[in-house]
Amino acid sequence: MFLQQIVNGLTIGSIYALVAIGYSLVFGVLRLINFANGAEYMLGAYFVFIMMTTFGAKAPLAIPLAIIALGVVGYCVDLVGLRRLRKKNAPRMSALIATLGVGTFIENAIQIWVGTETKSYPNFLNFGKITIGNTIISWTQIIIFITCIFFMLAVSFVVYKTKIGKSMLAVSQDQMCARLMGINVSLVIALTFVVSAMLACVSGILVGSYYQNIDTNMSFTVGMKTFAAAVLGGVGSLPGAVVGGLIVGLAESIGASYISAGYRDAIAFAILIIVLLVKPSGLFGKNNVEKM
Amino acid sequence: MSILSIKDLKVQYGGIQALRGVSLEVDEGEIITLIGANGAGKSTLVNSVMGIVPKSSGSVTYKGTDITKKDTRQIVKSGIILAPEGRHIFPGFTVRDNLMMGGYFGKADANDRELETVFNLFPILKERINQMGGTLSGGEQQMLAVGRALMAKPKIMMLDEPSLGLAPLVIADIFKLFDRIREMGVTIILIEQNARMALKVADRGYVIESGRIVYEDTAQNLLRSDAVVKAYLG
Repeated sequence: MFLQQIVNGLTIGSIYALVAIGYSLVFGVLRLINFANGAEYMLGAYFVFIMMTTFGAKAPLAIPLAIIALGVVGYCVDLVGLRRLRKKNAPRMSALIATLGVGTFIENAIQIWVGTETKSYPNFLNFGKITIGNTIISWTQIIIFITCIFFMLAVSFVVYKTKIGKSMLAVSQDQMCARLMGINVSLVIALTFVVSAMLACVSGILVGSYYQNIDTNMSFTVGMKTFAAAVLGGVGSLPGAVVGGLIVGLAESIGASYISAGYRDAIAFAILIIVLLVKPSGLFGKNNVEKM
Repeated sequence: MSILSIKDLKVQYGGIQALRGVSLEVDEGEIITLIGANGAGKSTLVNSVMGIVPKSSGSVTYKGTDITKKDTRQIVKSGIILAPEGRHIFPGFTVRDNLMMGGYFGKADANDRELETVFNLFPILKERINQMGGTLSGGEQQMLAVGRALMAKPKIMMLDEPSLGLAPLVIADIFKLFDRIREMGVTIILIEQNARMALKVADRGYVIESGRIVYEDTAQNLLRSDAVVKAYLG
Protein backbone atom coordinates (compact mmCIF):
# COMPACT_ATOMS: atom_id res chain seq x y z
CA MET A 1 0.00 0.00 0.00
CA PHE A 2 2.65 2.51 1.06
CA LEU A 3 5.04 1.47 -1.71
CA GLN A 4 2.17 1.74 -4.16
CA GLN A 5 1.58 5.33 -3.09
CA ILE A 6 5.29 6.07 -3.46
CA VAL A 7 5.18 4.78 -7.03
CA ASN A 8 2.05 6.78 -7.83
CA GLY A 9 3.45 9.85 -6.13
CA LEU A 10 6.75 9.69 -8.00
CA THR A 11 4.91 9.37 -11.30
CA ILE A 12 2.68 12.39 -10.87
CA GLY A 13 5.45 14.21 -9.00
CA SER A 14 7.84 13.85 -11.92
CA ILE A 15 5.22 15.46 -14.17
CA TYR A 16 4.79 18.34 -11.73
CA ALA A 17 8.55 18.66 -11.59
CA LEU A 18 8.76 18.98 -15.35
CA VAL A 19 6.17 21.77 -15.43
CA ALA A 20 7.82 23.43 -12.44
CA ILE A 21 11.14 23.51 -14.31
CA GLY A 22 9.43 25.55 -17.00
CA TYR A 23 8.11 27.91 -14.34
CA SER A 24 11.53 28.23 -12.82
CA LEU A 25 13.27 28.88 -16.14
CA VAL A 26 10.98 31.78 -16.93
CA PHE A 27 11.13 33.07 -13.38
CA GLY A 28 14.91 32.86 -13.41
CA VAL A 29 15.24 34.87 -16.58
CA LEU A 30 12.50 37.44 -16.05
CA ARG A 31 11.65 37.33 -12.32
CA LEU A 32 8.13 36.71 -13.56
CA ILE A 33 5.61 34.06 -12.62
CA ASN A 34 4.17 32.89 -15.91
CA PHE A 35 0.55 32.16 -15.13
CA ALA A 36 0.00 31.11 -18.74
CA ASN A 37 2.16 28.05 -18.08
CA GLY A 38 -0.77 25.96 -16.81
CA ALA A 39 -2.82 26.91 -19.85
CA GLU A 40 0.04 25.82 -22.10
CA TYR A 41 0.06 22.45 -20.36
CA MET A 42 -3.66 22.05 -21.00
CA LEU A 43 -3.33 23.28 -24.56
CA GLY A 44 -0.65 20.68 -25.29
CA ALA A 45 -2.89 17.86 -24.13
CA TYR A 46 -5.82 19.27 -26.10
CA PHE A 47 -3.81 19.79 -29.29
CA VAL A 48 -3.05 16.07 -29.35
CA PHE A 49 -6.67 15.28 -28.56
CA ILE A 50 -7.97 17.55 -31.32
CA MET A 51 -5.51 16.29 -33.90
CA MET A 52 -6.43 12.71 -33.15
CA THR A 53 -10.21 13.05 -32.92
CA THR A 54 -10.97 15.86 -35.37
CA PHE A 55 -8.24 15.25 -37.92
CA GLY A 56 -7.67 11.55 -37.36
CA ALA A 57 -3.91 11.94 -36.93
CA LYS A 58 -1.96 9.12 -35.31
CA ALA A 59 -0.14 9.66 -32.03
CA PRO A 60 3.42 9.52 -33.48
CA LEU A 61 2.48 12.47 -35.67
CA ALA A 62 0.16 14.30 -33.28
CA ILE A 63 2.55 14.38 -30.30
CA PRO A 64 5.59 15.95 -32.02
CA LEU A 65 3.30 18.38 -33.85
CA ALA A 66 1.71 19.43 -30.56
CA ILE A 67 5.12 19.97 -28.96
CA ILE A 68 6.23 22.13 -31.88
CA ALA A 69 2.92 24.01 -31.85
CA LEU A 70 3.34 24.74 -28.16
CA GLY A 71 6.82 26.06 -28.85
CA VAL A 72 5.21 28.55 -31.20
CA VAL A 73 2.54 29.36 -28.61
CA GLY A 74 5.23 29.96 -25.99
CA TYR A 75 7.00 32.32 -28.37
CA CYS A 76 3.74 34.16 -29.03
CA VAL A 77 2.96 34.51 -25.32
CA ASP A 78 6.19 36.47 -25.01
CA LEU A 79 5.84 38.33 -28.30
CA VAL A 80 2.21 39.37 -27.94
CA GLY A 81 1.86 39.55 -24.18
CA LEU A 82 5.16 40.67 -22.77
CA ARG A 83 7.71 42.10 -25.18
CA ARG A 84 6.03 45.46 -25.53
CA LEU A 85 5.59 45.77 -21.80
CA ARG A 86 9.33 45.23 -21.40
CA LYS A 87 10.10 47.83 -24.06
CA LYS A 88 8.01 50.37 -22.19
CA ASN A 89 9.57 49.39 -18.86
CA ALA A 90 6.16 48.54 -17.50
CA PRO A 91 5.98 47.48 -13.85
CA ARG A 92 6.45 43.77 -13.28
CA MET A 93 2.89 43.48 -12.04
CA SER A 94 1.64 44.35 -15.55
CA ALA A 95 3.58 41.45 -17.01
CA LEU A 96 2.14 39.14 -14.37
CA ILE A 97 -1.40 40.22 -15.18
CA ALA A 98 -0.64 39.85 -18.89
CA THR A 99 0.31 36.19 -18.41
CA LEU A 100 -2.92 35.65 -16.45
CA GLY A 101 -4.79 37.21 -19.36
CA VAL A 102 -3.06 35.08 -21.97
CA GLY A 103 -3.74 31.98 -19.85
CA THR A 104 -7.42 32.83 -19.52
CA PHE A 105 -7.64 33.47 -23.24
CA ILE A 106 -6.16 30.06 -24.07
CA GLU A 107 -8.44 28.26 -21.59
CA ASN A 108 -11.56 29.94 -22.90
CA ALA A 109 -10.61 29.40 -26.52
CA ILE A 110 -10.36 25.66 -25.84
CA GLN A 111 -13.63 25.67 -23.91
CA ILE A 112 -15.37 27.25 -26.89
CA TRP A 113 -13.69 24.93 -29.36
CA VAL A 114 -14.15 21.53 -27.70
CA GLY A 115 -16.50 22.23 -24.79
CA THR A 116 -15.98 22.05 -21.04
CA GLU A 117 -16.92 18.42 -20.41
CA THR A 118 -14.28 15.86 -19.50
CA LYS A 119 -12.87 14.07 -22.56
CA SER A 120 -11.52 10.58 -22.51
CA TYR A 121 -7.88 10.53 -23.53
CA PRO A 122 -5.93 7.73 -25.18
CA ASN A 123 -3.13 6.11 -23.19
CA PHE A 124 -0.16 6.08 -25.55
CA LEU A 125 1.99 4.28 -23.03
CA ASN A 126 -0.10 1.23 -22.21
CA PHE A 127 2.34 -1.67 -22.29
CA GLY A 128 1.04 -3.68 -19.36
CA LYS A 129 2.37 -3.72 -15.84
CA ILE A 130 4.84 -5.27 -13.45
CA THR A 131 3.81 -6.62 -10.06
CA ILE A 132 6.33 -6.64 -7.22
CA GLY A 133 4.83 -8.11 -4.02
CA ASN A 134 1.54 -6.29 -3.86
CA THR A 135 2.84 -3.16 -5.55
CA ILE A 136 1.72 -2.68 -9.14
CA ILE A 137 3.93 -0.62 -11.41
CA SER A 138 2.49 0.01 -14.85
CA TRP A 139 4.71 0.62 -17.84
CA THR A 140 2.83 3.88 -18.24
CA GLN A 141 4.26 5.01 -14.92
CA ILE A 142 7.75 3.84 -15.76
CA ILE A 143 7.73 5.57 -19.12
CA ILE A 144 6.33 8.78 -17.64
CA PHE A 145 9.04 8.80 -14.98
CA ILE A 146 11.82 8.09 -17.48
CA THR A 147 10.51 10.67 -19.96
CA CYS A 148 10.40 13.32 -17.25
CA ILE A 149 13.89 12.48 -16.03
CA PHE A 150 15.14 12.56 -19.60
CA PHE A 151 13.70 16.03 -20.23
CA MET A 152 15.00 17.30 -16.90
CA LEU A 153 18.50 16.12 -17.74
CA ALA A 154 18.24 17.55 -21.24
CA VAL A 155 17.14 20.95 -19.91
CA SER A 156 19.86 20.94 -17.25
CA PHE A 157 22.45 20.09 -19.88
CA VAL A 158 21.31 22.93 -22.11
CA VAL A 159 21.15 25.42 -19.25
CA TYR A 160 24.45 24.60 -17.56
CA LYS A 161 26.63 23.37 -20.41
CA THR A 162 25.74 25.17 -23.63
CA LYS A 163 26.34 28.71 -24.73
CA ILE A 164 22.64 29.50 -25.03
CA GLY A 165 22.14 28.13 -21.52
CA LYS A 166 24.97 30.28 -20.18
CA SER A 167 23.30 33.24 -21.86
CA MET A 168 20.08 32.39 -20.03
CA LEU A 169 21.97 32.24 -16.73
CA ALA A 170 23.67 35.54 -17.54
CA VAL A 171 20.34 37.21 -18.33
CA SER A 172 18.86 35.83 -15.14
CA GLN A 173 21.71 37.26 -13.05
CA ASP A 174 22.05 40.68 -14.62
CA GLN A 175 20.00 41.55 -17.65
CA MET A 176 21.63 44.90 -18.35
CA CYS A 177 25.12 43.47 -18.16
CA ALA A 178 24.15 40.50 -20.33
CA ARG A 179 23.15 43.03 -22.98
CA LEU A 180 26.45 44.83 -22.61
CA MET A 181 28.27 41.56 -23.32
CA GLY A 182 26.44 41.36 -26.65
CA ILE A 183 23.85 38.77 -25.66
CA ASN A 184 20.59 39.06 -27.58
CA VAL A 185 18.42 39.33 -24.48
CA SER A 186 15.11 39.34 -26.37
CA LEU A 187 16.02 36.12 -28.11
CA VAL A 188 17.11 34.47 -24.87
CA ILE A 189 13.83 35.43 -23.20
CA ALA A 190 11.79 34.19 -26.17
CA LEU A 191 13.67 30.89 -26.17
CA THR A 192 13.02 30.45 -22.48
CA PHE A 193 9.30 30.81 -23.14
CA VAL A 194 9.52 28.32 -26.00
CA VAL A 195 11.29 25.73 -23.85
CA SER A 196 8.96 26.17 -20.91
CA ALA A 197 5.87 25.84 -23.12
CA MET A 198 7.27 22.69 -24.72
CA LEU A 199 7.93 21.18 -21.31
CA ALA A 200 4.38 22.07 -20.26
CA CYS A 201 3.08 20.40 -23.43
CA VAL A 202 4.98 17.17 -22.78
CA SER A 203 3.69 17.14 -19.21
CA GLY A 204 0.10 17.75 -20.32
CA ILE A 205 0.23 14.85 -22.77
CA LEU A 206 1.77 12.57 -20.13
CA VAL A 207 -0.82 13.44 -17.52
CA GLY A 208 -3.65 12.93 -20.03
CA SER A 209 -2.22 9.53 -20.85
CA TYR A 210 -1.86 8.68 -17.18
CA TYR A 211 -5.39 9.57 -16.05
CA GLN A 212 -6.87 8.80 -19.46
CA ASN A 213 -9.02 11.87 -19.37
CA ILE A 214 -8.58 15.61 -19.70
CA ASP A 215 -10.73 18.59 -18.89
CA THR A 216 -10.30 22.32 -19.25
CA ASN A 217 -9.87 22.71 -15.51
CA MET A 218 -6.56 20.89 -15.59
CA SER A 219 -4.68 24.10 -16.32
CA PHE A 220 -5.81 25.69 -13.09
CA THR A 221 -5.11 22.67 -10.89
CA VAL A 222 -1.69 22.03 -12.36
CA GLY A 223 -0.91 25.72 -12.41
CA MET A 224 -1.46 25.93 -8.68
CA LYS A 225 0.36 22.71 -7.87
CA THR A 226 3.42 23.38 -9.96
CA PHE A 227 3.52 26.91 -8.66
CA ALA A 228 3.52 25.37 -5.19
CA ALA A 229 6.26 22.96 -6.30
CA ALA A 230 8.41 25.73 -7.71
CA VAL A 231 7.99 27.95 -4.65
CA LEU A 232 8.62 24.97 -2.39
CA GLY A 233 11.92 24.23 -4.09
CA GLY A 234 12.84 27.91 -4.31
CA VAL A 235 11.66 29.64 -7.45
CA GLY A 236 14.31 30.00 -10.08
CA SER A 237 16.26 26.93 -8.97
CA LEU A 238 16.11 23.93 -11.31
CA PRO A 239 17.03 21.27 -8.72
CA GLY A 240 14.55 22.99 -6.41
CA ALA A 241 11.79 22.66 -8.99
CA VAL A 242 12.48 18.94 -9.39
CA VAL A 243 12.54 18.26 -5.65
CA GLY A 244 9.49 20.48 -5.11
CA GLY A 245 7.54 18.68 -7.82
CA LEU A 246 8.39 15.25 -6.42
CA ILE A 247 7.47 16.32 -2.88
CA VAL A 248 4.10 17.69 -3.99
CA GLY A 249 3.38 14.53 -5.98
CA LEU A 250 4.37 12.21 -3.15
CA ALA A 251 2.54 14.24 -0.54
CA GLU A 252 -0.70 14.28 -2.42
CA SER A 253 -0.77 10.58 -3.26
CA ILE A 254 0.27 9.52 0.24
CA GLY A 255 -2.06 12.06 1.80
CA ALA A 256 -4.93 11.02 -0.43
CA SER A 257 -4.70 7.41 0.68
CA TYR A 258 -3.89 7.90 4.37
CA ILE A 259 -5.82 11.05 5.18
CA SER A 260 -8.62 11.55 2.70
CA ALA A 261 -8.83 11.60 -1.08
CA GLY A 262 -10.94 14.74 -0.81
CA TYR A 263 -7.97 16.63 0.61
CA ARG A 264 -5.67 15.62 -2.26
CA ASP A 265 -5.33 19.14 -3.62
CA ALA A 266 -5.21 20.82 -0.22
CA ILE A 267 -2.22 18.78 0.92
CA ALA A 268 0.18 20.34 -1.56
CA PHE A 269 -0.71 23.76 -0.26
CA ALA A 270 -0.51 22.73 3.37
CA ILE A 271 3.09 21.65 2.73
CA LEU A 272 3.78 24.85 0.84
CA ILE A 273 2.55 26.97 3.74
CA ILE A 274 4.64 25.03 6.25
CA VAL A 275 7.81 25.30 4.16
CA LEU A 276 7.31 29.00 3.55
CA LEU A 277 6.81 29.61 7.26
CA VAL A 278 10.06 27.84 8.05
CA LYS A 279 12.16 28.86 5.05
CA PRO A 280 10.56 31.67 3.04
CA SER A 281 13.01 31.38 0.16
CA GLY A 282 12.11 27.72 -0.46
CA LEU A 283 14.27 24.65 -0.04
CA PHE A 284 16.92 25.56 -2.62
CA GLY A 285 16.19 29.26 -2.89
CA LYS A 286 18.63 32.04 -2.27
CA ASN A 287 17.89 34.19 0.70
CA ASN A 288 16.86 37.34 -1.06
CA VAL A 289 13.14 37.81 -0.74
CA GLU A 290 11.72 39.82 -3.59
CA LYS A 291 8.25 41.20 -3.28
CA MET A 292 5.86 40.88 -6.16
CA MET B 1 41.63 60.10 -37.97
CA SER B 2 39.24 59.76 -35.11
CA ILE B 3 38.01 56.28 -34.22
CA LEU B 4 34.91 57.56 -32.44
CA SER B 5 33.12 60.77 -33.09
CA ILE B 6 30.02 61.89 -31.24
CA LYS B 7 28.08 64.84 -32.62
CA ASP B 8 25.49 66.86 -30.73
CA LEU B 9 24.19 63.84 -28.80
CA LYS B 10 21.02 64.46 -26.84
CA VAL B 11 19.34 62.06 -24.43
CA GLN B 12 16.09 62.50 -22.62
CA TYR B 13 14.90 60.44 -19.64
CA GLY B 14 11.20 60.97 -19.13
CA GLY B 15 11.05 64.76 -18.82
CA ILE B 16 14.69 65.22 -17.90
CA GLN B 17 17.25 66.29 -20.45
CA ALA B 18 20.25 64.20 -19.36
CA LEU B 19 22.49 65.15 -22.29
CA ARG B 20 22.04 68.53 -23.95
CA GLY B 21 24.13 68.10 -27.05
CA VAL B 22 27.50 66.50 -26.44
CA SER B 23 30.18 66.35 -29.11
CA LEU B 24 33.53 64.69 -28.77
CA GLU B 25 36.24 63.10 -30.86
CA VAL B 26 38.48 60.23 -29.82
CA ASP B 27 41.59 59.28 -31.77
CA GLU B 28 42.78 55.74 -32.11
CA GLY B 29 45.13 54.74 -29.29
CA GLU B 30 44.16 57.63 -27.06
CA ILE B 31 43.21 57.47 -23.43
CA ILE B 32 40.59 60.10 -22.82
CA THR B 33 38.71 60.81 -19.66
CA LEU B 34 35.31 62.27 -18.96
CA ILE B 35 35.16 63.94 -15.60
CA GLY B 36 32.33 65.66 -13.85
CA ALA B 37 30.16 65.59 -10.78
CA ASN B 38 27.60 62.96 -9.95
CA GLY B 39 24.61 63.25 -12.26
CA ALA B 40 26.41 65.37 -14.85
CA GLY B 41 25.61 62.83 -17.59
CA LYS B 42 28.85 60.86 -17.86
CA SER B 43 27.23 57.45 -17.51
CA THR B 44 24.33 58.47 -19.70
CA LEU B 45 26.81 59.34 -22.42
CA VAL B 46 28.52 55.93 -22.50
CA ASN B 47 25.27 54.05 -21.99
CA SER B 48 23.72 55.83 -24.94
CA VAL B 49 26.77 55.12 -27.10
CA MET B 50 26.26 51.43 -26.23
CA GLY B 51 22.58 51.62 -27.16
CA ILE B 52 21.44 50.83 -23.61
CA VAL B 53 19.88 54.26 -23.25
CA PRO B 54 17.96 55.56 -26.30
CA LYS B 55 19.33 58.67 -28.00
CA SER B 56 16.89 61.48 -28.81
CA SER B 57 19.11 63.11 -31.44
CA GLY B 58 22.68 63.48 -32.60
CA SER B 59 25.00 60.92 -34.11
CA VAL B 60 27.73 58.48 -33.17
CA THR B 61 30.29 57.49 -35.79
CA TYR B 62 32.74 54.65 -35.22
CA LYS B 63 35.57 54.08 -37.72
CA GLY B 64 33.65 56.13 -40.24
CA THR B 65 30.43 54.13 -39.89
CA ASP B 66 27.30 55.62 -38.41
CA ILE B 67 26.33 53.48 -35.42
CA THR B 68 23.72 55.81 -33.96
CA LYS B 69 20.86 53.39 -34.57
CA LYS B 70 22.69 50.09 -34.07
CA ASP B 71 21.65 47.90 -31.16
CA THR B 72 23.96 46.95 -28.30
CA ARG B 73 24.76 43.55 -29.75
CA GLN B 74 25.98 45.00 -33.06
CA ILE B 75 27.95 47.69 -31.28
CA VAL B 76 29.74 45.14 -29.09
CA LYS B 77 30.40 42.97 -32.11
CA SER B 78 31.90 45.90 -33.99
CA GLY B 79 34.47 46.44 -31.21
CA ILE B 80 33.17 48.80 -28.54
CA ILE B 81 32.75 47.49 -25.02
CA LEU B 82 31.67 49.03 -21.75
CA ALA B 83 32.73 47.94 -18.28
CA PRO B 84 29.71 49.39 -16.50
CA GLU B 85 29.50 51.41 -13.34
CA GLY B 86 29.29 49.19 -10.29
CA ARG B 87 31.20 46.46 -12.15
CA HIS B 88 28.20 44.21 -12.70
CA ILE B 89 30.05 40.96 -12.26
CA PHE B 90 27.81 37.92 -12.70
CA PRO B 91 27.75 36.80 -9.07
CA GLY B 92 26.78 33.18 -9.77
CA PHE B 93 29.37 32.62 -12.49
CA THR B 94 32.93 31.60 -11.81
CA VAL B 95 35.72 33.99 -12.78
CA ARG B 96 36.27 31.87 -15.89
CA ASP B 97 32.59 32.00 -16.91
CA ASN B 98 32.50 35.73 -16.30
CA LEU B 99 35.48 36.18 -18.59
CA MET B 100 33.95 33.87 -21.18
CA MET B 101 30.83 36.03 -21.24
CA GLY B 102 33.09 38.89 -22.28
CA GLY B 103 34.31 36.73 -25.14
CA TYR B 104 30.76 36.10 -26.23
CA PHE B 105 31.50 36.48 -29.94
CA GLY B 106 34.94 34.94 -29.81
CA LYS B 107 35.87 31.46 -31.01
CA ALA B 108 37.01 28.99 -28.35
CA ASP B 109 40.72 29.05 -29.25
CA ALA B 110 40.79 32.83 -29.63
CA ASN B 111 39.17 33.11 -26.20
CA ASP B 112 41.79 30.82 -24.68
CA ARG B 113 44.53 33.05 -26.04
CA GLU B 114 42.75 36.15 -24.79
CA LEU B 115 42.36 34.50 -21.40
CA GLU B 116 46.17 34.25 -21.15
CA THR B 117 46.49 37.95 -21.96
CA VAL B 118 44.01 38.82 -19.23
CA PHE B 119 45.79 36.58 -16.72
CA ASN B 120 49.07 38.29 -17.62
CA LEU B 121 47.56 41.64 -16.71
CA PHE B 122 45.72 40.38 -13.64
CA PRO B 123 47.51 37.31 -12.22
CA ILE B 124 45.12 37.32 -9.24
CA LEU B 125 42.26 36.33 -11.55
CA LYS B 126 44.12 33.18 -12.52
CA GLU B 127 44.34 32.20 -8.87
CA ARG B 128 40.62 32.81 -8.47
CA ILE B 129 39.62 31.18 -11.75
CA ASN B 130 37.07 28.76 -10.25
CA GLN B 131 35.80 31.11 -7.58
CA MET B 132 32.31 32.63 -7.88
CA GLY B 133 32.30 36.23 -9.08
CA GLY B 134 30.15 37.27 -6.13
CA THR B 135 32.77 36.18 -3.62
CA LEU B 136 35.59 38.36 -4.96
CA SER B 137 36.74 41.53 -3.24
CA GLY B 138 35.83 44.88 -4.78
CA GLY B 139 39.26 45.31 -6.34
CA GLU B 140 39.24 41.81 -7.78
CA GLN B 141 35.77 42.38 -9.16
CA GLN B 142 36.93 45.54 -10.88
CA MET B 143 39.90 43.67 -12.37
CA LEU B 144 37.48 41.02 -13.51
CA ALA B 145 35.24 43.66 -15.07
CA VAL B 146 38.20 45.11 -16.99
CA GLY B 147 39.41 41.61 -17.91
CA ARG B 148 35.97 40.62 -19.08
CA ALA B 149 35.79 43.73 -21.26
CA LEU B 150 39.19 42.86 -22.76
CA MET B 151 37.95 39.36 -23.61
CA ALA B 152 35.76 40.96 -26.25
CA LYS B 153 38.97 42.06 -28.05
CA PRO B 154 37.64 45.60 -28.20
CA LYS B 155 38.97 48.50 -30.22
CA ILE B 156 37.41 50.91 -27.76
CA MET B 157 37.03 50.14 -24.09
CA MET B 158 34.84 52.40 -22.01
CA LEU B 159 35.24 52.18 -18.24
CA ASP B 160 32.58 53.70 -16.06
CA GLU B 161 33.90 54.69 -12.63
CA PRO B 162 36.42 51.88 -12.23
CA SER B 163 37.69 53.44 -9.00
CA LEU B 164 34.31 53.46 -7.30
CA GLY B 165 34.52 52.22 -3.73
CA LEU B 166 38.10 50.97 -4.02
CA ALA B 167 41.09 51.68 -1.82
CA PRO B 168 43.61 54.15 -3.33
CA LEU B 169 46.31 51.49 -3.57
CA VAL B 170 44.02 49.16 -5.52
CA ILE B 171 42.96 52.02 -7.79
CA ALA B 172 46.60 52.79 -8.51
CA ASP B 173 47.20 49.11 -9.33
CA ILE B 174 44.41 49.11 -11.89
CA PHE B 175 45.13 52.53 -13.38
CA LYS B 176 48.77 51.74 -14.04
CA LEU B 177 47.66 48.97 -16.40
CA PHE B 178 45.88 51.33 -18.75
CA ASP B 179 49.07 52.09 -20.64
CA ARG B 180 49.66 48.38 -21.22
CA ILE B 181 46.09 47.96 -22.41
CA ARG B 182 46.56 50.87 -24.78
CA GLU B 183 49.65 49.15 -26.20
CA MET B 184 47.41 46.22 -27.11
CA GLY B 185 45.68 48.56 -29.53
CA VAL B 186 42.76 49.48 -27.32
CA THR B 187 41.49 53.04 -27.17
CA ILE B 188 40.29 53.86 -23.67
CA ILE B 189 37.48 56.14 -22.57
CA LEU B 190 37.63 56.55 -18.84
CA ILE B 191 34.81 57.99 -16.80
CA GLU B 192 35.80 59.18 -13.39
CA GLN B 193 34.74 61.26 -10.46
CA ASN B 194 38.26 60.81 -9.21
CA ALA B 195 39.43 63.53 -11.60
CA ARG B 196 43.04 63.87 -10.54
CA MET B 197 43.69 60.16 -10.85
CA ALA B 198 42.02 60.02 -14.25
CA LEU B 199 43.80 63.08 -15.66
CA LYS B 200 47.16 61.63 -14.65
CA VAL B 201 46.72 58.59 -16.89
CA ALA B 202 44.76 60.24 -19.70
CA ASP B 203 45.99 62.11 -22.78
CA ARG B 204 43.01 64.39 -22.96
CA GLY B 205 40.00 65.13 -20.83
CA TYR B 206 36.48 66.42 -21.15
CA VAL B 207 34.63 68.03 -18.29
CA ILE B 208 30.87 67.49 -18.27
CA GLU B 209 28.43 69.63 -16.35
CA SER B 210 24.63 69.24 -16.47
CA GLY B 211 24.69 67.30 -19.72
CA ARG B 212 27.11 69.59 -21.55
CA ILE B 213 30.82 69.57 -22.17
CA VAL B 214 32.19 72.69 -20.51
CA TYR B 215 35.94 72.18 -20.94
CA GLU B 216 38.09 70.07 -23.13
CA ASP B 217 41.84 70.08 -23.25
CA THR B 218 44.92 67.95 -22.83
CA ALA B 219 45.01 66.27 -19.46
CA GLN B 220 48.05 68.30 -18.43
CA ASN B 221 46.35 71.57 -19.17
CA LEU B 222 43.19 70.52 -17.34
CA LEU B 223 45.27 69.57 -14.32
CA ARG B 224 46.66 73.12 -14.34
CA SER B 225 43.48 74.96 -15.24
CA ASP B 226 42.22 77.13 -12.39
CA ALA B 227 38.53 76.48 -13.05
CA VAL B 228 38.96 72.70 -13.17
CA VAL B 229 41.21 72.62 -10.15
CA LYS B 230 38.71 74.66 -8.20
CA ALA B 231 35.65 72.63 -9.18
CA TYR B 232 36.99 69.09 -9.41
CA LEU B 233 40.44 68.77 -7.98
CA GLY B 234 39.82 70.83 -4.81
